[in-house]
Amino acid sequence: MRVFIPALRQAVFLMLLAAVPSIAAALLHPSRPDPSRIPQVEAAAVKSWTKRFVWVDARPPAEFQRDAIPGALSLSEDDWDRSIDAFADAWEPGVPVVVYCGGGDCGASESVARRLKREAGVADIFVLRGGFDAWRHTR
Amino acid sequence: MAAYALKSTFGPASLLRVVLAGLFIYAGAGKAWDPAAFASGIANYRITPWIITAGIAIYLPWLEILAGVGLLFPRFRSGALLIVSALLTVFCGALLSAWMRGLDIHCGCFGAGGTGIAPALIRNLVLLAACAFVWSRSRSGPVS
Repeated sequence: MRVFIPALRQAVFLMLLAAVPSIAAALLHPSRPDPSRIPQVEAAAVKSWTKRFVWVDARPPAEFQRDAIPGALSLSEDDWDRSIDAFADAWEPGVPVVVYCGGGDCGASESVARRLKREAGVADIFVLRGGFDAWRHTR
Repeated sequence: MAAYALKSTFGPASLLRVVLAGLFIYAGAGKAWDPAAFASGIANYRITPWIITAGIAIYLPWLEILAGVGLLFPRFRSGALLIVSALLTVFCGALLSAWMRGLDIHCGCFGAGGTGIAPALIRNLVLLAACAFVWSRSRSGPVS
């Protein structure tokens, strides 16, 4: 115990010291994670989920018709009022939802996910990192 | 004589300590470079809510870097070793949890991507054993 206390003291000092660059990074880093954004998950990780979840395709319906993740529901901002009922039928509270759009920075998945969280009360919701392209490449 | 002095002060425990320091500085720097990608890596584990994940993604890389640097300085050596051991234990717990849930994810050990769960778990256990060895070789317990 006698030798453990100085180690603990040093550890606390290092942990406090680490807070200084962390605060700077939280304020200034160009690639800082935004706590108000929807969390992103990788396609390979989602493919290994064993429990039930719902895919939501946030691309325009025409793109969804051409090719989509099997079992996904089409729910874009433009088609919201028409498609939200189909989502409500397929989803139950507690079931995770993964929203995707076309590619890296399309933004549609983020806005649809935000709306689902706000209006449909989906708490366990994610955005697919890299979108449909990423999912296709991990087939 | 000089060679003898070097041999007596820089033994296997010191070598392991330097290796641990290098690994933690390297791992921390990779994560600090792109904390958003690291946050996605943590989100893949599905353990913490996003707001906590974002905080971890910002703070953890710097803690790793400072713990790594601390291992190189006698004044902070035992504290840094305590942090490194605690972090490795937490990482092992997270990897084990992902493995038990059948998640197929990259460990995120060095930022975005990285190895799969099993190699990362084995590597962390080896590093934990290295930490235990360094602790045990300290002259008066953890404080050297």
